[in-house]
Amino acid sequence: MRKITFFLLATIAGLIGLFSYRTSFGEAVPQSRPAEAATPAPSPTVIAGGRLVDGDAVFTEYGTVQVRVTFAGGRVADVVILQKHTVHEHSLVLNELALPRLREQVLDAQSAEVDTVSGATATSRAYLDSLQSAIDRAHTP
Amino acid sequence: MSPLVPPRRAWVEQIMGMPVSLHLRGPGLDSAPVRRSVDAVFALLREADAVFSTYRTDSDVSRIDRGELTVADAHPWVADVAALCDEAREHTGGWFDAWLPAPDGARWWDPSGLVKGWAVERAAELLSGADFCLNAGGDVVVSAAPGHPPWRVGVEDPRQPSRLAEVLTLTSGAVATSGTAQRGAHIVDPYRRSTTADVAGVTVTGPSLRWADVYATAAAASGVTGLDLLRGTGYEGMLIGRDGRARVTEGFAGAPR
Repeated sequence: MRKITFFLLATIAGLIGLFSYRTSFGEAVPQSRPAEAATPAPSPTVIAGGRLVDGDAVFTEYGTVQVRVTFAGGRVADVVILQKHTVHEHSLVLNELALPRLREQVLDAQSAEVDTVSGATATSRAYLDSLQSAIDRAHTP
Repeated sequence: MSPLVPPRRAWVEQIMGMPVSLHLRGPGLDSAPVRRSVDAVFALLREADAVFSTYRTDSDVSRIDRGELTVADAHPWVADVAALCDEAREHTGGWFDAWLPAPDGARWWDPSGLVKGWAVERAAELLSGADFCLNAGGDVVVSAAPGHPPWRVGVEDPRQPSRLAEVLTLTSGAVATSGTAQRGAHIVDPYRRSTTADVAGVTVTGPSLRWADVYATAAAASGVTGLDLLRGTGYEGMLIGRDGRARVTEGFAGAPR
């Protein structure tokens, strides 16, 4: 569960980083890509003056996930899951546990607005899914 | 009016089996002198890995442990680090010890617990005067230029690493974290010779990364009262137990809470 949560958090945190660059605002919007076995998109919460961005569908070993982020005033106002296609039943359970936490974590991570993260020695593998790697990607040309 | 946000760029390399990320802020980040400084930082860390890695059979430390090389004949850094390990042992009442117990009762020399902080601190010295944030596998050194915002360092919650337990705001200084969140139990209680059980993670902040790292490791090894080791050192810390209880020193991130 932690792995997929990390993965999603990193993906979205990367997106947040992307949008913190004023110069790229508007041109760097990732396009949604059709993906297999899409579940119907839930209606997003409408926020006055908000901008909706659909993330890329992310293919993980657990299945496909795609999210829609609502930006308002340059900050993430909401995150909804557009589709979750799971490879097997175990993943379905993971999704049910992980996805609601995702939204909460994205909002938490952004409210912290940190430049870097201190933690017990990150292995290269854990790094790939970490908030630190999302921060690094947001600042790598 | 919000303060002007300076341009920022990051470089990331995998060294010593961990991600090392360097962030610089200011003008001219694409220039050749900046590139040379960045290269020098990563080169120093790679050299430290070649000398000290216990995972590389050809490193000076591995050859010393096999009896093939003496400290006197090794890279001059080895003697420096050996002296610092002894100093660290004294400063922590024996809770930091590079002489690790083997299952058969013998001991071998593994300075890894000090080398990382030492090497990253030396690498950061190459950036003196720059506005930087150097993060090596979760151990951090920062320096903010005058007029630039301080660096905000999130401290991972060791029990739930996708969350932050605290955020430190630093103009300059270091933050080191020791614990079992990422690598499992690897910190050994030098007195009982067993792995630390009741501490999930310890974060220490202060002027030097080398000492922050040593104190964090020593505090994690000594258990839930580990922050007592920081008394009078000028370093501040937070210890999170396996039970989720957080303890902080008086000056840690605006403590008491």
